[in-house]
Amino acid sequence: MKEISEELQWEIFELLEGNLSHEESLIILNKVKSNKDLEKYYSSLKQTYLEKESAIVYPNKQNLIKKSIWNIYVSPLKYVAAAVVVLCVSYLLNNNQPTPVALQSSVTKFDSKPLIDSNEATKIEVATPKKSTTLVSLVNNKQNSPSNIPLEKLSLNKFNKRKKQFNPSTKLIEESEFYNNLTANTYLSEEEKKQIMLKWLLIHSANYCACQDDCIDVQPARNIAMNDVEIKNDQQLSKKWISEVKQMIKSGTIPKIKLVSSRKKEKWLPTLGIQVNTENASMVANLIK
Amino acid sequence: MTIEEYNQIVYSQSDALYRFALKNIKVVEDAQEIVQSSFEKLWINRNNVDPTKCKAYLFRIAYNCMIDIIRKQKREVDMELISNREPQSEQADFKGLKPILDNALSQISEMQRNVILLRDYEGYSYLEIGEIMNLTENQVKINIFRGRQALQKILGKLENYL
Repeated sequence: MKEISEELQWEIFELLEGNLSHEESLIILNKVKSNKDLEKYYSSLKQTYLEKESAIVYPNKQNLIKKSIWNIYVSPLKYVAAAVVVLCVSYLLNNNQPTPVALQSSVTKFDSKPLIDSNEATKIEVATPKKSTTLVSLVNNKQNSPSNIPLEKLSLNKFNKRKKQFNPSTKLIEESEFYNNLTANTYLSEEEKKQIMLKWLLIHSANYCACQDDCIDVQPARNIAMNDVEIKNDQQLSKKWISEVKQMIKSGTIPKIKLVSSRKKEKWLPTLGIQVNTENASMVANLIK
Repeated sequence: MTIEEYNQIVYSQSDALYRFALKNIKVVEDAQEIVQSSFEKLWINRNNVDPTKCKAYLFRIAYNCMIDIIRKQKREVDMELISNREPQSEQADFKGLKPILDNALSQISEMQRNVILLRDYEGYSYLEIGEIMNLTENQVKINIFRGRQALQKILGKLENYL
């Protein structure tokens, strides 16, 4: 085999590497075909090209994979959480749709169970203006109260900073709707209506606090307004609420109630509260900014 | 780099990295260790590595690991023993020219072998190979050319012998 010039060797290399244009490739290929030595060189250089071996795969790939905290800790718990949710929903459904038999039994139990355990305090979230924290604390001093008034944390309205208004919470809408339908409800006893009324009072006293004039950036939540009355003025809402409560007291829907609105001014954090006294319980709803 | 991005790189690059390491080192355990430690280093430095350049980063780590291992082996074992080492399980499947070419690859310089492996197995461009091995594009090209010429000579000698 004759010695092949470095230049030709390089050209053949470029051809095999695919670095040449179509025209250039054809020229080199013609050169190669016309010369046996070049053809031999070309084929021997072509042999040095390795074939990709895709059959070789890394066997421990799964060991390299990183799992997120969600996958490690939370993911297995989601089944537990789902089970708890299902149980809670079924429990709530059973409690909210009492059959006549179930109702009878709950009324029977009413006298023996307290409304809220003594010395127990529950905090309920209400409308939150800006970054302030608004809480309604419920304090019961006495026993002998219905047990089915929920003491769970109720999230009421959430302040929408962009729209500068409160987004009504689903919970409160449900409560309001439930209250609106209360009078039409034929299968609830008077005692049960009272219990619901007390609960309603608690929620609305919290909203009442949130709707005071000196609450910074608080807008009246539409869902507080009953009977589709759109309230644009905080004072109107307060007056309406108080008058409704008074009406309820008169008609005997609610047992003896004393409304006390209190205001305490601190340096930057004014506190506004409303106290609702019943025969057996004392509820204080405080707005803390 | 997020966990998802990292895992994506594991899926897309681990096989290529393993092939590259195995063809160089020829010992399955060492190749696996190289892949493992390369990805560990990538994970540790995930916040400092640009996700678009992590492929080159990974191969550079693997390349450095391989050099370390080879140097260690050179110190411990006679090079002749390495070249005559029995083929590993992956090599048992080789047919025809493959085992000859594989053997020839082990006889050329480390640099030439690596550039050819990256070029042929992984199809990297000269620029990408340069990023991995800290070489310019021209240096990569010349190394590939010289490496192929070296392989050609080894294969030619074998042909004459056969």
